[in-house]
Amino acid sequence: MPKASEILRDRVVEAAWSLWTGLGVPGRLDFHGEVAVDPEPLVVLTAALGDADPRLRDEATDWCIRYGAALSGSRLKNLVAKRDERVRERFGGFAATIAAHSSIRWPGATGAQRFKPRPRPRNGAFDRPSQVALRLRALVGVGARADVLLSFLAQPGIAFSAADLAVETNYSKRNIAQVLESMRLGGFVVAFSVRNQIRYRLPGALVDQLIGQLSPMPRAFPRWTPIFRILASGIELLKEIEKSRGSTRAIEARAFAAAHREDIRTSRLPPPRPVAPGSDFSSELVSWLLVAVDNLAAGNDPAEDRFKARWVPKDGMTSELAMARGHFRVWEAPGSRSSGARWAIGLIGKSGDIDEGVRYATAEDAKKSAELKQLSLDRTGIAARIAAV
Amino acid sequence: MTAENLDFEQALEALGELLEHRGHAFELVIAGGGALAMLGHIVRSTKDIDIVALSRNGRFESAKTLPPELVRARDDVAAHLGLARDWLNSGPAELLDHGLPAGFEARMITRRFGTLTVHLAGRFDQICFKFYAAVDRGPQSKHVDDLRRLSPTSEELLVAASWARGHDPSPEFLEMSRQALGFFGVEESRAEG
Repeated sequence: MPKASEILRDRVVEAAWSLWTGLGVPGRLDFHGEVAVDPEPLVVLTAALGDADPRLRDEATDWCIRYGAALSGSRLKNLVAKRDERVRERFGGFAATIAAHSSIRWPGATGAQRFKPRPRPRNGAFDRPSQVALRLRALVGVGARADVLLSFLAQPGIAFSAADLAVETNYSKRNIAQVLESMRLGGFVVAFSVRNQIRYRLPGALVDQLIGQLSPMPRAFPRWTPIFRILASGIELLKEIEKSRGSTRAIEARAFAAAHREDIRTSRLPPPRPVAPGSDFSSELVSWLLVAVDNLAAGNDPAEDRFKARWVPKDGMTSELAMARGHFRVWEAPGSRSSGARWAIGLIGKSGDIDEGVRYATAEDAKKSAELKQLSLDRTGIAARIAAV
Repeated sequence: MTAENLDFEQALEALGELLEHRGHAFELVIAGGGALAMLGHIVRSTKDIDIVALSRNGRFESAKTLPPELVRARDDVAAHLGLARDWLNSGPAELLDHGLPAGFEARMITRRFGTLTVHLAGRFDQICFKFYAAVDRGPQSKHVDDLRRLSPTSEELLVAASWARGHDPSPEFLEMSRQALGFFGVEESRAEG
């Protein structure tokens, strides 16, 4: 029976596969074609996953060898610097492997892993909505300028400070301030003071012009940096608390939520629901992580209504494990234990109703069903996964 | 359990298990109302546990600055149980500066919670600490009640007064300690002796 940490890890791997497919890796999971994919945080996440899925790591390595010049070494360095020693080590191996097969040199490279590049046709073009970051870099070059512009396009009308953009883009505040000042001198951003802070805004005409150049634009711009930090740390947390006993599980889970409060806020994920003092917070957190990763793996952005619609409340469930999957309501069917069919599973319909079985009322739900079949999440698999939580 | 009514056993068990899980071990010397409650000397609600010293390799060390691993674990337990962050504090750590009562170590009562070892000050040492606190805070303080509950003998109070004067040799403290002894019915002449 898989452990909760293994379930979460597998779901993060599935999400990573779909995101890499969005960047152009040949993959069977493809739910992020219309969602902006942020390449550097995805590289760090993939490195952090280590051997969880060697094929994913190899495909990502292969892509980086071909297109890694479109990625920013300094951004990778900043992202990795904020992670623990284990992630830094794994990234070091990943970067060294890419360096061994290309001219790409990323900071922090250590010892290369065994890897054999496979002959593959190159992508025709970075023409999917998910590849907007790569298209923008093709236009203005790899560096802070491209990511600053992307932040403006992701949230048009928002005026950012240099500090805001440093957090958004994972470049240093100094670097961002220099970029903003040069853009201001060139007339590409408008600067104005708000209290003691200078804020910058991209003029509407330039936003329209850039969108025209960069189309097709993605439907959503999830904030992958905090999302990936939460998910990767969540896997490690679950591994740890599976070894612990008594109140330690609850305490570590609560400490995790406190330590990631800012990441949860900036990722726009609905926060885990509080529990009474002394109560076990770990089961709430496990459910929360699994619901979050399910939604994200399906290509939903926390800022979208469709994400919130699939954020199923726990009330009325017969088991706290019941919301371990975002798309499904799962409950212990009364009187069915003897037959062994312990769990009843239903897909949540558009209206929030539960459509049991495989019949769906709308085209959207039917599409979702097909996606879920691709994920090999059959009834038995889900029941086993949830029973293991 | 609330911040006003701390369940010491639950809180220390949670802390000890957490420290063990995180690979840390600490030995604390504790006194005050929390220690008295754990020993069953008092039943009043107590909101904190006072650390007098840390013990490492059989030696007492200052607890004025607690190790960061202990502070982090303490705060995490506080968040879990809904306690104030200072539920475990080193308020009386300065007691170590001028020395603990002679024979303190031999009277300690040791409890273990995971990798957390707690040495509770013995009854006589609590009399010394409570006498010192009672003189310092005055006859209306909770320390006077705690001291009364410990039912100290005259001899014990005299030794406690002598020890307390070692911590504060000022004439004012001497006078107040004489008054405190009088409050507990110990003869002035004996106090001077």
